[in-house]
Amino acid sequence: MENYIIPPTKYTPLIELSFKDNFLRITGDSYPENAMDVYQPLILQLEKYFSAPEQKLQIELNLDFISTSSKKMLTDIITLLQNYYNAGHKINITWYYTDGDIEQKDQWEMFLEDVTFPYNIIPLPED
Amino acid sequence: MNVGDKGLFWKEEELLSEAKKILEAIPEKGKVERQKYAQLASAYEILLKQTSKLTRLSDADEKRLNNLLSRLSRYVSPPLYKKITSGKERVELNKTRRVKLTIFFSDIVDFSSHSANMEGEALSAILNSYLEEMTNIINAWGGTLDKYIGDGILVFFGDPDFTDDFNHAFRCVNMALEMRNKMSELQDKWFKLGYSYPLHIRMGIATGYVSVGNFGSSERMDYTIIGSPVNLASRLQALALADQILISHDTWGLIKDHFFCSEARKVKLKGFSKTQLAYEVYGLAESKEENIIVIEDKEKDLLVKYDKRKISAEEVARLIKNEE
Repeated sequence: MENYIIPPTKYTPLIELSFKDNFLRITGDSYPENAMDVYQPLILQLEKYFSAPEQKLQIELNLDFISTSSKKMLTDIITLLQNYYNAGHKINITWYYTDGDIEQKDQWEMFLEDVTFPYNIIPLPED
Repeated sequence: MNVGDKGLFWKEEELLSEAKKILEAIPEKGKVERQKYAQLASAYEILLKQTSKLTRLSDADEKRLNNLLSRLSRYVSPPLYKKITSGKERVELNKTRRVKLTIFFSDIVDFSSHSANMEGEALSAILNSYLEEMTNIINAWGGTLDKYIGDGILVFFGDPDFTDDFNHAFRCVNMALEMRNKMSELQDKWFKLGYSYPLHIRMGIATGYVSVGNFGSSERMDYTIIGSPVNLASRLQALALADQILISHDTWGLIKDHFFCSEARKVKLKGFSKTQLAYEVYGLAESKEENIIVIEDKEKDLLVKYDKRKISAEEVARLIKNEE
C-alpha cells in the first residue's frame, strides 16, 4: 500500500503515515478552516492500515498551535487508536513538547489521560 | 456522504440520533428494557466525556496564551501592548499618522568607555538596574518607551494616548527631572556594588510633528516615530553635558511658565541647516528662588550654576580659584 503523505501548509501540519515502516507522524501547527477535511482522510487511512491483523504503529506528534476543532479531531483519532489497541494491535505514541513549556506538556497529558496503550510525553530535542 | 458534508460532531450527532430512536421506541406507559437504558446512558457518557475534555483543553490553551502574552508584554511598552491586545492597533505597514509629540532621548555619559572597564556581570547589573529605574519613571509619567539602544533610551509622549501638547511636554520634562534625581540614588547603589566612578545621564527633548506607526517589513515591524523632531531630540541629547536636560524651542514654548530654564542658546546641530535654539532645564519653576543659583553672563562666556542645598557659595568660589 502506498504511504499517505500530506505536506504541511501555514495552517495545517505535515501528516505522514507509512504502511511500510509502520509509523505515523504529525508535525506543525493545526488551525485549518475545516478540520474534518484534514483529519477525516487520515482516519480512513488508519482504518485501511488496521484492517491487516496484528499491526504495529509508532506515532510521533510534534504540534504547536492547535485549534479547538483540530483538538476535537485528535481526540477522535486517539479514541479510534484505543479501539484498535483493544482489538490487539500494537500502538505507541511519542508526543513532543517545547522544553520548559509545562502548560503544553499538561495539555498533551490531558489528551492521553484515558488511553491504556503506551505513550511518552518528552521535551523536543534541541537542534 | 462526502467528508465535506459531515460536520465536526457527526459521530456525536449520530449517537444522539440513535438515542432519540431508542426513546421513541419506548411505549408511553410501558416497561423499558434495562439494555435500552444502558445504551442511552453510555451514549450520554461519551458525549459528556468529549465535552468535558474539549472544555479543559480549551481552558489550558487560554491559560498558555495568556502566559505567552504576558511574557511578550515585557518587550513592548505598556500603552502599545494595551493597544495591540485591544485590537485597536492594525498590525500593518503604510498606516502611519502625523502627530505632534514630545520626544525624549537620554544616555549615560561616556558609557562605552566605562563599560569597557567592567566585568560582564557588573556591567549587566549596573545597566539593568539603571534601565529598571528609568523604565519605572517612564511608566509613572505615562511615556511610551520606544526602545533601549544600549544605555540609550527613546521615549515619546502623545501616542498612543494623546492628551494635549502642553501635557505631553510637561510630563516629559518632569520625567527627565525625576530621572536626573534618581541618578544620585543609583550612584550610591553602584558605589556599594564596587563601582566607584559616578555615572551621569544627559537628556534631549524636542516637540514637533512626526510620523508614527509601523515601519519595517511585513515580517518584522517596529512601532516607532520618524521625523525631524526625533533627530533634534537626539542631537540635543548628544550635545548635553553630564546631568543636563536640553530642550528645543518648541518644548520650551510649552513649559516655560512651569520650569526654570536658561536663556536661549544658539546651537549648530548636524543634520540641521539652520541654527537651533536650545534651553537647559534647571528644575521646577519654584526652585528658581529656592535652591538653584545661576550666574550667567553671555558676553563674558560665564555660566555658573549650583544647588545651594548641596554646595555653598564659598566652596564654589574656592573651586573656581583652584581651577585657575
